[in-house]
Amino acid sequence: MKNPLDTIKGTLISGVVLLILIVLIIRICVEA
Amino acid sequence: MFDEWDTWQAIVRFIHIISGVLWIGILYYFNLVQVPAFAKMDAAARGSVVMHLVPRALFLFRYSALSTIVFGIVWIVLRALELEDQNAATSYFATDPFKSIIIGGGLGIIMFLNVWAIIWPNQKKVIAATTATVTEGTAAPADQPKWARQAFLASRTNVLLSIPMLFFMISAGHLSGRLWN
Repeated sequence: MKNPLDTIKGTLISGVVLLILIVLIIRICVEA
Repeated sequence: MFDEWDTWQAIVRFIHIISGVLWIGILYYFNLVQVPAFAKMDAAARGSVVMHLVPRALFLFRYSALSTIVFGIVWIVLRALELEDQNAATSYFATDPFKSIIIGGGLGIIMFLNVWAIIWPNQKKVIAATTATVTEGTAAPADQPKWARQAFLASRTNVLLSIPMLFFMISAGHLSGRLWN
Protein backbone atom coordinates (compact mmCIF):
# COMPACT_ATOMS: atom_id res chain seq x y z
CA MET A 1 0.00 0.00 0.00
CA LYS A 2 1.27 3.47 -0.84
CA ASN A 3 2.68 5.49 2.03
CA PRO A 4 -0.34 7.43 3.40
CA LEU A 5 1.75 10.60 3.69
CA ASP A 6 2.35 10.55 -0.08
CA THR A 7 -1.39 10.19 -0.57
CA ILE A 8 -2.09 13.22 1.64
CA LYS A 9 0.58 15.28 -0.11
CA GLY A 10 -1.02 14.29 -3.43
CA THR A 11 -4.49 15.22 -2.13
CA LEU A 12 -3.39 18.63 -0.89
CA ILE A 13 -1.48 19.39 -4.07
CA SER A 14 -4.53 18.35 -6.11
CA GLY A 15 -6.66 20.65 -3.95
CA VAL A 16 -4.39 23.60 -4.60
CA VAL A 17 -4.26 22.78 -8.33
CA LEU A 18 -8.07 22.58 -8.41
CA LEU A 19 -8.27 25.95 -6.67
CA ILE A 20 -5.85 27.57 -9.13
CA LEU A 21 -7.83 26.10 -12.05
CA ILE A 22 -11.12 27.49 -10.72
CA VAL A 23 -9.63 30.95 -10.11
CA LEU A 24 -8.05 30.93 -13.59
CA ILE A 25 -11.39 30.04 -15.19
CA ILE A 26 -13.06 32.87 -13.27
CA ARG A 27 -10.38 35.36 -14.35
CA ILE A 28 -10.66 34.28 -17.98
CA CYS A 29 -14.46 34.62 -17.93
CA VAL A 30 -14.23 38.04 -16.27
CA GLU A 31 -11.67 39.34 -18.78
CA ALA A 32 -13.79 38.21 -21.73
CA MET B 1 -25.05 51.34 15.03
CA PHE B 2 -25.51 47.66 15.76
CA ASP B 3 -28.95 46.88 14.43
CA GLU B 4 -31.03 43.71 14.53
CA TRP B 5 -29.76 42.50 11.15
CA ASP B 6 -26.18 42.68 12.43
CA THR B 7 -27.08 40.82 15.61
CA TRP B 8 -28.80 37.91 13.92
CA GLN B 9 -26.12 37.61 11.26
CA ALA B 10 -23.38 37.69 13.88
CA ILE B 11 -25.05 34.82 15.74
CA VAL B 12 -25.67 32.77 12.61
CA ARG B 13 -22.16 33.47 11.29
CA PHE B 14 -20.62 32.29 14.57
CA ILE B 15 -22.60 29.04 14.62
CA HIS B 16 -21.85 28.42 10.93
CA ILE B 17 -18.10 28.94 11.42
CA ILE B 18 -17.83 26.95 14.64
CA SER B 19 -19.73 24.06 13.02
CA GLY B 20 -17.47 24.31 9.98
CA VAL B 21 -14.34 24.28 12.16
CA LEU B 22 -15.57 21.14 13.92
CA TRP B 23 -16.47 19.48 10.61
CA ILE B 24 -13.19 20.25 8.85
CA GLY B 25 -11.20 19.50 12.01
CA ILE B 26 -12.64 15.99 12.23
CA LEU B 27 -12.29 15.53 8.45
CA TYR B 28 -8.57 16.42 8.64
CA TYR B 29 -8.20 14.21 11.73
CA PHE B 30 -9.67 11.23 9.83
CA ASN B 31 -7.36 11.75 6.85
CA LEU B 32 -4.14 12.95 8.46
CA VAL B 33 -4.25 10.97 11.69
CA GLN B 34 -6.67 8.05 11.74
CA VAL B 35 -6.07 6.52 8.31
CA PRO B 36 -2.25 6.45 8.66
CA ALA B 37 -2.56 5.17 12.24
CA PHE B 38 -4.92 2.35 11.21
CA ALA B 39 -2.28 1.13 8.77
CA LYS B 40 0.11 0.63 11.68
CA MET B 41 -2.29 -0.78 14.32
CA ASP B 42 -2.88 -4.46 14.98
CA ALA B 43 -6.31 -6.01 14.40
CA ALA B 44 -7.36 -5.97 18.06
CA ALA B 45 -6.52 -2.27 18.43
CA ARG B 46 -8.30 -1.44 15.17
CA GLY B 47 -11.39 -3.34 16.33
CA SER B 48 -11.44 -1.39 19.58
CA VAL B 49 -11.01 1.96 17.83
CA VAL B 50 -13.77 1.15 15.33
CA MET B 51 -16.14 0.21 18.13
CA HIS B 52 -15.45 3.05 20.58
CA LEU B 53 -13.72 5.99 18.91
CA VAL B 54 -14.97 6.07 15.33
CA PRO B 55 -18.75 6.21 16.09
CA ARG B 56 -18.21 9.21 18.38
CA ALA B 57 -16.08 10.99 15.80
CA LEU B 58 -18.56 10.21 13.01
CA PHE B 59 -21.51 11.50 15.05
CA LEU B 60 -19.88 14.90 15.59
CA PHE B 61 -18.64 14.83 11.99
CA ARG B 62 -21.97 14.34 10.30
CA TYR B 63 -24.01 16.62 12.57
CA SER B 64 -21.46 19.44 12.40
CA ALA B 65 -21.65 19.07 8.59
CA LEU B 66 -25.44 19.41 8.77
CA SER B 67 -25.22 22.39 11.10
CA THR B 68 -22.67 24.11 8.85
CA ILE B 69 -24.89 23.78 5.77
CA VAL B 70 -28.12 24.77 7.57
CA PHE B 71 -26.63 27.89 9.17
CA GLY B 72 -24.82 28.78 5.94
CA ILE B 73 -28.14 28.78 4.07
CA VAL B 74 -29.82 30.73 6.88
CA TRP B 75 -27.02 33.30 6.68
CA ILE B 76 -27.46 33.74 2.91
CA VAL B 77 -31.23 34.18 3.37
CA LEU B 78 -30.64 36.77 6.13
CA ARG B 79 -28.20 38.69 3.94
CA ALA B 80 -30.66 38.71 1.02
CA LEU B 81 -33.54 39.83 3.28
CA GLU B 82 -31.40 42.56 4.85
CA LEU B 83 -30.51 44.12 1.50
CA GLU B 84 -34.16 43.92 0.41
CA ASP B 85 -35.25 45.54 3.66
CA GLN B 86 -32.83 48.40 3.09
CA ASN B 87 -34.08 48.82 -0.50
CA ALA B 88 -30.56 48.27 -1.80
CA ALA B 89 -29.87 49.03 -5.46
CA THR B 90 -29.05 45.43 -6.29
CA SER B 91 -30.24 42.17 -4.77
CA TYR B 92 -27.71 40.26 -2.68
CA PHE B 93 -27.65 37.56 -5.35
CA ALA B 94 -26.10 39.96 -7.87
CA THR B 95 -23.20 40.98 -5.61
CA ASP B 96 -19.58 39.84 -5.93
CA PRO B 97 -19.42 38.30 -2.44
CA PHE B 98 -22.39 36.09 -3.32
CA LYS B 99 -20.57 34.83 -6.44
CA SER B 100 -17.72 33.65 -4.21
CA ILE B 101 -20.11 32.21 -1.64
CA ILE B 102 -22.13 30.25 -4.22
CA ILE B 103 -18.94 28.52 -5.42
CA GLY B 104 -17.67 27.86 -1.89
CA GLY B 105 -21.12 26.88 -0.70
CA GLY B 106 -21.69 24.67 -3.73
CA LEU B 107 -18.49 22.81 -2.91
CA GLY B 108 -19.64 22.64 0.71
CA ILE B 109 -22.92 21.04 -0.34
CA ILE B 110 -21.06 18.46 -2.43
CA MET B 111 -18.89 17.73 0.62
CA PHE B 112 -22.03 17.45 2.78
CA LEU B 113 -23.55 14.94 0.34
CA ASN B 114 -20.31 12.94 0.41
CA VAL B 115 -20.63 12.75 4.20
CA TRP B 116 -24.28 11.70 4.46
CA ALA B 117 -24.65 9.65 1.24
CA ILE B 118 -21.26 7.87 1.04
CA ILE B 119 -19.06 8.15 4.13
CA TRP B 120 -21.68 7.61 6.86
CA PRO B 121 -23.64 4.72 5.24
CA ASN B 122 -20.43 2.82 4.49
CA GLN B 123 -18.90 3.47 7.88
CA LYS B 124 -22.12 2.39 9.61
CA LYS B 125 -21.76 -0.98 7.87
CA VAL B 126 -18.07 -1.24 8.76
CA ILE B 127 -18.80 -0.47 12.42
CA ALA B 128 -21.62 -3.03 12.57
CA ALA B 129 -19.52 -5.74 10.88
CA THR B 130 -16.47 -5.04 13.06
CA THR B 131 -18.60 -5.09 16.22
CA ALA B 132 -20.06 -8.44 15.17
CA THR B 133 -16.58 -9.82 14.50
CA VAL B 134 -15.17 -8.61 17.83
CA THR B 135 -18.11 -9.51 20.10
CA GLU B 136 -19.42 -12.67 18.43
CA GLY B 137 -16.55 -13.83 16.26
CA THR B 138 -18.61 -13.49 13.07
CA ALA B 139 -16.41 -13.58 9.97
CA ALA B 140 -15.92 -10.23 8.25
CA PRO B 141 -18.31 -9.82 5.27
CA ALA B 142 -16.63 -10.10 1.88
CA ASP B 143 -17.72 -6.56 1.00
CA GLN B 144 -16.18 -4.93 4.08
CA PRO B 145 -12.95 -3.75 2.40
CA LYS B 146 -15.08 -2.24 -0.37
CA TRP B 147 -17.15 -0.24 2.14
CA ALA B 148 -14.02 1.03 3.86
CA ARG B 149 -12.44 1.96 0.53
CA GLN B 150 -15.53 3.91 -0.66
CA ALA B 151 -15.68 5.84 2.62
CA PHE B 152 -11.96 6.59 2.40
CA LEU B 153 -12.17 7.84 -1.20
CA ALA B 154 -15.14 10.11 -0.41
CA SER B 155 -13.30 11.42 2.65
CA ARG B 156 -10.12 12.12 0.71
CA THR B 157 -12.21 13.88 -1.98
CA ASN B 158 -13.63 16.11 0.76
CA VAL B 159 -10.11 17.07 1.87
CA LEU B 160 -9.36 18.02 -1.74
CA LEU B 161 -12.59 20.05 -2.11
CA SER B 162 -12.09 21.75 1.26
CA ILE B 163 -9.18 23.78 -0.14
CA PRO B 164 -11.05 25.69 -2.86
CA MET B 165 -14.13 25.77 -0.60
CA LEU B 166 -12.25 27.55 2.17
CA PHE B 167 -10.60 29.92 -0.30
CA PHE B 168 -13.95 31.03 -1.76
CA MET B 169 -15.60 31.32 1.65
CA ILE B 170 -12.77 33.49 2.95
CA SER B 171 -12.40 35.46 -0.28
CA ALA B 172 -16.09 36.41 -0.24
CA GLY B 173 -15.36 38.83 2.57
CA HIS B 174 -11.86 39.87 1.61
CA LEU B 175 -11.12 39.46 -2.08
CA SER B 176 -14.38 39.28 -4.02
CA GLY B 177 -14.03 42.81 -5.41
CA ARG B 178 -10.75 41.93 -7.07
CA LEU B 179 -11.61 38.36 -7.98
CA TRP B 180 -14.79 39.23 -9.89
CA ASN B 181 -13.69 42.46 -11.60
